[in-house]
Amino acid sequence: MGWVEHAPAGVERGEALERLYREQGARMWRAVLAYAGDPEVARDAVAETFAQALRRGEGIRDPERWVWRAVFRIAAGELAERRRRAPESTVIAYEMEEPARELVAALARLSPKQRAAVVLHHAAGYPLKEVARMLGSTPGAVKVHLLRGRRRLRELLGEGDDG
Amino acid sequence: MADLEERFRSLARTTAPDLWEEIGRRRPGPAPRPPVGPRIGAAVVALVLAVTGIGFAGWTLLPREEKPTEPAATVSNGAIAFASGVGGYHIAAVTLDGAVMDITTPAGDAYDLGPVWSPDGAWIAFLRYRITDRDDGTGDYDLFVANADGSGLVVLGRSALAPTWSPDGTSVAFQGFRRETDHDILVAERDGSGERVLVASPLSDTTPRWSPTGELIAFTSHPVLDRDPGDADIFVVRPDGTGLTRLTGSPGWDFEPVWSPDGSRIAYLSEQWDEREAYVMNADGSGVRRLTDAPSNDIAELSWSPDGTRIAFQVFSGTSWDIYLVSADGTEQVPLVTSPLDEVDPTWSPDGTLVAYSAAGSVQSCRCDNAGTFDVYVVTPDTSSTTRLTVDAGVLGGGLSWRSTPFIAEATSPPRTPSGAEIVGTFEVGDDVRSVAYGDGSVWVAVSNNDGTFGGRILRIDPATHEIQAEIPVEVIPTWDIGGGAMVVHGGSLWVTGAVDRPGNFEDPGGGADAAVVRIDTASNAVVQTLEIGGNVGADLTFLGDELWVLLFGDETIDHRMEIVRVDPYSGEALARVPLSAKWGHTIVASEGRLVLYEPGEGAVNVDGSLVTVDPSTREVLRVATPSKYFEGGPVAWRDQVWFAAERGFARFDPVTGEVIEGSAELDPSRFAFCCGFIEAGERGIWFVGFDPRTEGSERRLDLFDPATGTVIELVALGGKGTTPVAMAVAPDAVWILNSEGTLTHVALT
Repeated sequence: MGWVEHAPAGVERGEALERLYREQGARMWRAVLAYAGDPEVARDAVAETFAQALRRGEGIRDPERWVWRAVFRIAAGELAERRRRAPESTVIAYEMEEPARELVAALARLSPKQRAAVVLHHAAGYPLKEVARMLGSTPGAVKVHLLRGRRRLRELLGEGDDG
Repeated sequence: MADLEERFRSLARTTAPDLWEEIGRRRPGPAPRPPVGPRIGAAVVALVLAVTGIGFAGWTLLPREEKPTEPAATVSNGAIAFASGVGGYHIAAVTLDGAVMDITTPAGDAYDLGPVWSPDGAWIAFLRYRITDRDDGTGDYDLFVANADGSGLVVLGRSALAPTWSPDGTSVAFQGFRRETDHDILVAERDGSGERVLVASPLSDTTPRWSPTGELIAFTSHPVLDRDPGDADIFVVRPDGTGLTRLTGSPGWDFEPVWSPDGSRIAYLSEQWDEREAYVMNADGSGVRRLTDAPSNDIAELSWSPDGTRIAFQVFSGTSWDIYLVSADGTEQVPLVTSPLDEVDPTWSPDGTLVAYSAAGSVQSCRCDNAGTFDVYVVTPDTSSTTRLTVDAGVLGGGLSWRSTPFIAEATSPPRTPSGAEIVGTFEVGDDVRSVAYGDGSVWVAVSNNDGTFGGRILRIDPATHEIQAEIPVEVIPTWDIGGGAMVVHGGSLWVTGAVDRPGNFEDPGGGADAAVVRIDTASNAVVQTLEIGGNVGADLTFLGDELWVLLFGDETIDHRMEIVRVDPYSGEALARVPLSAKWGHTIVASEGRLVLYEPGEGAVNVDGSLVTVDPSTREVLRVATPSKYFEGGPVAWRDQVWFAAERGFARFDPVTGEVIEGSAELDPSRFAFCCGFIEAGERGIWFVGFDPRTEGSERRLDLFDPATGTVIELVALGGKGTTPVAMAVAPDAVWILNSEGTLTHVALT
């Protein structure tokens, strides 16, 4: 992370964004998959985020920070829109290991705030302060979400309680 | 079986699609922009500054000369409130000598956090997080306000965050969730009444901050749930909702406004593309100036010194969070606390001589602020002295709040445990007494006319002289022969429920009655209203914030089952009805946003019953069997807790989860036995009249159960069989016991 700060002068924004996508796009897609539980939402959100970043060009001076912040908002909007169009969710097949599949299924049963906190912190790697800001919350509140979210995940996945 | 960490690693091995081509196909088209409304000139200047570089700031917009603000003469460094992790997250406060006092005691799964003292230190606002849906683990935050010692808990808002007090301490603005991620700015009175939406833009409106002058509320507004991440800007609005004005308009995120102590300036954080720094502007948005030169992009938690000359903030150094000071003109930035440990949440003391913060007890292995055990520290601004105030307090992030008046115990309630009690006297009040209440400086006794009607009179009694100050005829008095209740002093009125005669309704087996509520203005002693609310007989009433809820016996149309009805206190209109299954109920209390009552079993009213909790917003009813066969009294609301008396002693009930809290206090049967089927709560604890088993039941005694310590105190013998207590009212310095013989006993607490 943070490679943009070290990008040589003169590197075109498009090239820089492609490098950013190559470096972090897969991790971002997985984080959004974990958040939304839907690979198509993840695909759409990641693609739309980078497309918007390209359109904005030099208007974004920290693309890394910008795309990570943007992708979850776009995913949330897309998820809400899909639920509005088709309230009955459908299971979309995607090749993944069973532990990961179970994790995504369990994440879907968390409250949205817990899920967002868990995914942003554990899958996307954001510190609590940043997660709090993205969720319009406080670090303490996010920590509670994480505590409760992890505990709930362990319950759902039949594991021990971390207290 | 894979553990959670392994599952996240497994997730990380999931192959992601290559979307770059698709991204390229989506790229054409203009960059979406959020709608831009009218912006004041200063915002344009801010935009220019952001685009052209901060170096312009000193040339374009010189801030006003820094002039220290004199702290108020009365301020002192009172207790620092924080969220403590000792024994479950709750609000505690620590003094500079290290004395810690627990302020809240959340039940069950609840967590309390984010305390904010009112400006005069008499009140404290905080957030309570708890699971609200046990099936899917959904949790939520409620905003509470309590007295400084945690008593008198009131719910101010549901799904709420970021409380900010009005300077006069009468109101609290906060950020409420109207939808999942759309926040609006709301305001409510300190007592929970008058909630209103102040700002409900299509954007997400967050982090309100009331100006020290009280004239404006600053907040941040940013887009949500759209396909445009957009920008965040700072706005101000008057507390009446008018005068909405955008102060910033930079292309980045401007957020977390913090007013200077004199209200003339606002410090805030701004993320201008590739860096986040603190800025300051005048209260009208002019004079934007960059303050900080932070070593990283992560900077947070701005705190003004009381004289307005410096601002403390926390910043991530690359390995840990540190605390710095910067002059309010941005000319001088110095480290205050830098170590390999995380130091967060800087908060200036009210007199400006110290900065409090919380710090980790050990170096964290990850950049996970608030991990591990944090404690409260204070440091002098010149860094010459640092003091650790708490030991292993498990401070939860989310802010410290420093009280500007002396420690809680000096300013609030009298000692909880009286050293003794004495009977001042017992005097006659009427033949057929029904209930007693205390409020607005008087003792109120309901006496029946004893003429076959539901009418009677309310006696207003001077607690010092025992004189009857007023005798108020009413159509409606409580119908209970024992247990009292059904009378509440609230909002300058005495509210009484019972029934009114309905001569044309003799088919009603309830006796030709409609439930009713009478309101008496305590200033004039006049009956202001008699509200007829249907049903049959009002059993009890309570206020949940400003909502009036009545427990009533239903009429024949619902098989005479009980109902809880929310009544418009002015029109008498039934605004909501919650049907119950039982046909008897005596007492209803409000706590933690829930209504709680006891429903009897099939056989007798105090045998094999259930505790019932009702969520007034969803009408959801939760029943839990009482833990013992016999029910002896209650429920009562003590502070933010609900307690009842059962066969073996007192037990605590969580009205949200429906759990009876383990570890509740049992009574020694050789010393205590419940007498009369009622208990009452006061600030000092829960009062009950008991038989003394050592006198073979001939002697009655007033006792006090202290829920905080689980102890019971034998206070004063009430005499032999000559008096039979039927109801009780608790005043700050006295307990008033109504006896079936038509007398009132005044017990003074010493």
